[in-house]
Order: sequence, then structure tokens, then C-alpha cells
Amino acid sequence: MIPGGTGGGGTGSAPFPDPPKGDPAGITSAARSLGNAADDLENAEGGLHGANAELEADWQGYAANAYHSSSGTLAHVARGASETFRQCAHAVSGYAAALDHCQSEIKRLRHAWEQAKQRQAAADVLAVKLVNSITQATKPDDATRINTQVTTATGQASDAGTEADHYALRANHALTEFKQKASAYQSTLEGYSPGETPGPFGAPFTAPGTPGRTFGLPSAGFQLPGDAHSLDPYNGVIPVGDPWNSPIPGYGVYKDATTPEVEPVDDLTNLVLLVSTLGGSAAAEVGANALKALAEELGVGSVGRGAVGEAYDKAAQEVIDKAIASGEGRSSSFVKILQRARAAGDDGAIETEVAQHEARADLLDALMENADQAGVLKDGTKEIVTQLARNRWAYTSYTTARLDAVRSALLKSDNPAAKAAARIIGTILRYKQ
Amino acid sequence: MSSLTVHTPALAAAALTISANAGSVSDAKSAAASAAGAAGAFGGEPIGGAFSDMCTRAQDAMGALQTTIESLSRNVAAASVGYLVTDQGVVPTKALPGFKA
Repeated sequence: MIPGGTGGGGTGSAPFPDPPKGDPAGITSAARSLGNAADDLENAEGGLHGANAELEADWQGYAANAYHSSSGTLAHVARGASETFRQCAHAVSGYAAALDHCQSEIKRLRHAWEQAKQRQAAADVLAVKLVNSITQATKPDDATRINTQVTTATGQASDAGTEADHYALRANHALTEFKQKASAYQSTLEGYSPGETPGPFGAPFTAPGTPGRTFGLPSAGFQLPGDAHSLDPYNGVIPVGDPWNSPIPGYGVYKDATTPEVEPVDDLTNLVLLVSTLGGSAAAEVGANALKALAEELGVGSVGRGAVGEAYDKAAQEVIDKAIASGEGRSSSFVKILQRARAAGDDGAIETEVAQHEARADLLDALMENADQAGVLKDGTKEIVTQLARNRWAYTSYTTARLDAVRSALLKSDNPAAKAAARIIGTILRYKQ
Repeated sequence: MSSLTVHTPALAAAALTISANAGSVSDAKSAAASAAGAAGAFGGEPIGGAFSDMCTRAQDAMGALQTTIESLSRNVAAASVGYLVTDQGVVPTKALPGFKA
């Protein structure tokens, strides 16, 4: 606190406050870090939900239920933590802005206060000099004039002192306002809303996922649904126990799991149906169902997709088998094992898909060309759909063999639609050669 | 005993995804530690202490969350392997001594 001077007329004595300490830029940087943490947790929440959704159809049963419950809770906690970080980032950022404003305001007022104090001191000095200049030799008229000047100087000193007090008062108000804001921001950082009474154990929030002092975690400790060890049955380290009801991987607990295969929704089967719809009557002559059945027989529908899945499974399983045989499976490095498994699975799937790609595209070219020449497609349909196919579908030797077999079967039929499909297959096979 | 089918690669992939999420939480923990390093910018004002405490709580909480998500990832991976073991292993045809079928 800077002491005020005595000043003329008893004014200008109000103390001028020191500005609050701190580096607003550094504090703003800290707020950005907290915001980044909030973003990271939003990503984690989204990832957990995503993994849940992906496993929805691929894993069902008791173990899956435990997983979904645990994962859902963890996602909820991540959301709560993200919101807490966001609140804290907002509070810290707000504090930095308030600090910057307060420091700037007090600096500006300090400058004005100092100038007023200088004017006050100068006027005081002048008044003293004028008073001292009156002696016994001073003529009465001159004394009267000097006294008038003394009065003026004293008045100016008083006005300057009043002005200085005004600046000091405004600085104190700015500081008080800042402290009030700082108190609210501090409460946020402490995990309490302003005016809120702390709950049991000093924490107002207890439910998992609730933003606040514990960052989404329950204040009584972090426990997943069911009990504190609800994940333990799946960590592979508990005793065997009853082999008929053991929760250990490889024993009874997995008996209840069922995993229906997911129906592909973006394969050529649907595209053929789409083309049939776009094509109108001529395509209907060939028959949407016939085209769909053909596509599936050719391995471009769900069968083709299944082939990719089988390749993946086979390659992945081989790696896992080796890991288990080597004893790695008994260690805690399951993730590493499965990383290798997935990489092997990807290679297998990629190999199959690449081989199928050209064939699927060629097939569709032929189908689309046929339909286009028949004048049954809307303008631009052929180009758009074949471009999609070029980017997404393929051909294999398996497909070629199936094509030939289906073509032979179709040629024996008296159905015009079947014969039309056989002609398309012949075209495809010629493309292949 | 009924048969079952589980898409084990999907579980393995999910385990990896979950593990990546634990990484995101770890990033959040690092960000909180980075923020804590800026506590000196508060210049000794009272809020600086609350800020440091908050950063400490945040890092502790993120550590607990990260550990638990890693546990979930590990257990999902274990489940994936476990299903394969079930497929390839010998299923007991009767209860072992001391256990009820």
C-alpha cells in the first residue's frame, strides 16, 4: 500500500492499493492446458462409446454385460472429468482476464493519482513560498495580492488532493471487484459452487460422472458397477475355482455368450438393388432378386464379405495360437499379443480384398454397361456407380470359378432373366481373360 | 453345453481401441501436470494454492481413470484370448473332485 501525503486542505491522504500479483499470460497458458485435457477426455469418452457400439453385436452374454456396464461407467466418468476440466479452464481463463483488467486499471489510475499528487505538492510549495514572501516591508496592496495567490494555490492543492483521493478510491473499488471475482473462480477450482456447502467428507459430489472436486470420480473411491472388483473375473489371474462356473477365460463363464454375425449393409448386394430401382422396367425384367442372388453367388455380397472375415479370423487366430503355445498368453501382455494378431488379420483381409477389388469393379462395369445400353439408367447413374465400385470392390479366382459355375447353371434355365444374367457373366469372364 | 460364437478379432480390436482411450486419459493427465507447472504465474495470490490443489486432484483422478481403462482393455483382450482357449481347449466332461457340477 502506498501511503498518501498529508496534502493541502487535508485531502489526498487516501492510500493507493498495490495491484494484484501474477502473470495473466502465464495463467492463460495454464487455462489452455486444462482445455486440452478436457478435449483429451472427450476423445476418451467418444472412444469408449465407440468401442461399446462396435461390440454391441459381436459380443453378448454375461461377460459382455459386465464389459458394457464398466465401459459405460468409465465413459460417464470421462465425460464428468472433461466437464470439470472445462469448468476449471473457464475459471482460470476468467481469472487471468480479471487479473489483466485489474492490473491495467490500477496501473492507469496509479499514473493519474501520481500526477494529481505532484500537482498537489507543487501547489502546496507555491502557497508556502507565497506566504513566506510577505514581510514587514511588503506593501499592503502587494500583501493583499499575494494572499489572494496563496488562497488560489491552496485551493489548487486541495482540488488536486481531492482528485488523487478519487483515483485511489477507484483503484480500491477495482481491487475489491477483482477479489470478489477471484473468490468465485477459486471456489470453482476447489470444486465448490459459490455459496455451496461441502457435503460428506468435504466433497459435495459423490456420484460417478458428476463434474466437480473429484473430476467425475465418486468421492468415496472409484468403483465400477456391481462391486469394486467387477472387472476381476476377466483379468485371467484369479484361482480356477469351480471349472463349471469359473469366471476364468476359457471356462464356464463364456458359455452364455452369443455373437450373431453382423449383416453387411454396404456391399454390392444393396448396390445392385439400387441399380435395379434406378433402372426401372428393363432392370426389373432381369429381376432384382435374381441380381441379388447372383451377386451373392459371385462373392460380391455377404458371401464375399464373409470370405474377408474368414481370412481375418484365420490369420489372427494363428498368431494368437502361437502366443498361447509359447506361454505369452499367461503374461500380462495380452494387448501386445493381440496387436500382432490384428496386424496379421489385417494382412489376410487386405490380401483377400485386393484380389476381389478388380473383379467386383469389372462385374459392376459390365452390369452397368448392359443396363445403360438398354437405356434403363438415369443420366449419370452409370458413371457415378461404377466410380464407386472402382474405389471399393474387387475380383478373385474364387469369384471367377463361381462365375463360370453360375453361368453354366443359368444357361440351362429357360428363364429369360437367368439367360440375361448368364450373358452378363460371359461378358465379365471375357473382361477377365 | 450350448455352443457359442464370438467375433474374437472384434474383441481384440476393441481392446486396442480401449487402450488408446487410456492413452487419451494419460494425455489429459500430462496436460494437468503442464498446467500445474504454471502455478507460479499466480504470483502467490490465494487462488494459486487452490489451482495447485486442483491440478494435483486432477492428476490423481486421471491416474485412477487411466489405470481402470487399461484394466478394462486388458480384460477385454483376455476375454478374446479366453474364447479362443475355450474353442481349442479341453472342456471338462465331469466336475473335478471338490466341485459341484
